[in-house]
Amino acid sequence: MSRFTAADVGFTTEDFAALLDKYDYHFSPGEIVAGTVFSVEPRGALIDIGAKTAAFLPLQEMSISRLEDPHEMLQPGETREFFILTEENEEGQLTLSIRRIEYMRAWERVRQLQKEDATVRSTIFATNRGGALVRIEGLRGFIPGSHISTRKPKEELVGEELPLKFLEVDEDRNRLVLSHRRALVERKMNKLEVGEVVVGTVRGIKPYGAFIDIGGVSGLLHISEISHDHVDTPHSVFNVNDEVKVMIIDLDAERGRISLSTKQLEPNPGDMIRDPKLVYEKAEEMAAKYREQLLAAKQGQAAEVPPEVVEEELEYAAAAVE
Amino acid sequence: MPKFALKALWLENDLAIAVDQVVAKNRSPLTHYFFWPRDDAWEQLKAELESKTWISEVDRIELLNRATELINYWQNGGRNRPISEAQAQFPDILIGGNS
Repeated sequence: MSRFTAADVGFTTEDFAALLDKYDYHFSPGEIVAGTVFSVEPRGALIDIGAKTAAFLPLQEMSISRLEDPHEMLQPGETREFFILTEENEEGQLTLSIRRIEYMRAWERVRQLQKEDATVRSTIFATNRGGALVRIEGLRGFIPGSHISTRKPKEELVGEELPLKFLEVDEDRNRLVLSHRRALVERKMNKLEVGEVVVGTVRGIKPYGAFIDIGGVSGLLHISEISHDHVDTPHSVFNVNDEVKVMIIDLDAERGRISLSTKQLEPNPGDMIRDPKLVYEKAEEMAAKYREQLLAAKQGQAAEVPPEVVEEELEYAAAAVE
Repeated sequence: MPKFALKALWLENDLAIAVDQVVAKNRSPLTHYFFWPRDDAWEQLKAELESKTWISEVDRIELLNRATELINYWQNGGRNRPISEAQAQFPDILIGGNS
């Protein structure tokens, strides 16, 4: 306005009115504007955003979080950003929302975190039949039961803080799914290596294999990896709570899976079925041989095939080594 | 009572920093995350805060100074120390991440 000095002769009140109209900012739904809290009332707040009439922010639009009292979110005189929810009504009043802004920014942050494959910590606030509920950046996240790795019964998990990784982030479908197992396995995997022998405890037996607890995370000893001889059911070799020695044959951080083998540790095919103790005694020795073979396979192939193929080939080799 | 506070995340190779607006005990997200050293988090944060002209200069400078302290801490070995230590050093910053 400082441009209009006394030198601007001929600037009439009509011009002034026209100018005011021109600069009368039209607020459109979907925009984000700064505003100052004018007054806070039990059912909402009046906000000055520079419109002719103070805009209204209903209580339910104040936050993602449930508020008992609007003062938990707003104080008179405070300035912040608001989302314009609806056009002016007959009285010229706009309706505003903070909740929308919080959702947009929370999803944006969560997408960033997923992209980083970040580990976040959060406290379980409720459980249901399918799993547990947490808050991540203010959003409600779900951890499926199969992705919770703790020995505590599910009912006792409320209040427990867990490291978590993202499984699914989908704003359109309002789905935020997390995994405790992936966070744990990743941490554990950083310390584990393929070809390493670890001591574990049999935690569960399924028709397709045995789940072995190795220092807090669970690995699968598939039925086909128990012995070179045919195994009808893992029950014929293991009981729950058995202490076992197993070798790590695959680490899949993406899916949070650790694959184990006792087959590769057998000095003679079928030893696991006849005498597991013998297998455990010779485990380190057999594992050293396995690692040598793995290395030899790697070097042999590296000489013949382009490097990018080697990785893939090796995985097959690891799975097929007899 | 501060009106804004930082939020940070220790990642594998980077530090992530965001700003929350604080009212009473409530934290409301003001920005997305900025990464360091992969991106110049500090410069980006500065630009973002400057674009929000309703934030006072005093608040902006205070936030940027705090971000500088956090980046320095992370850079000078803090990244390899437990997060609980960082949290004790920066009680006003909500710090998360691995380990």
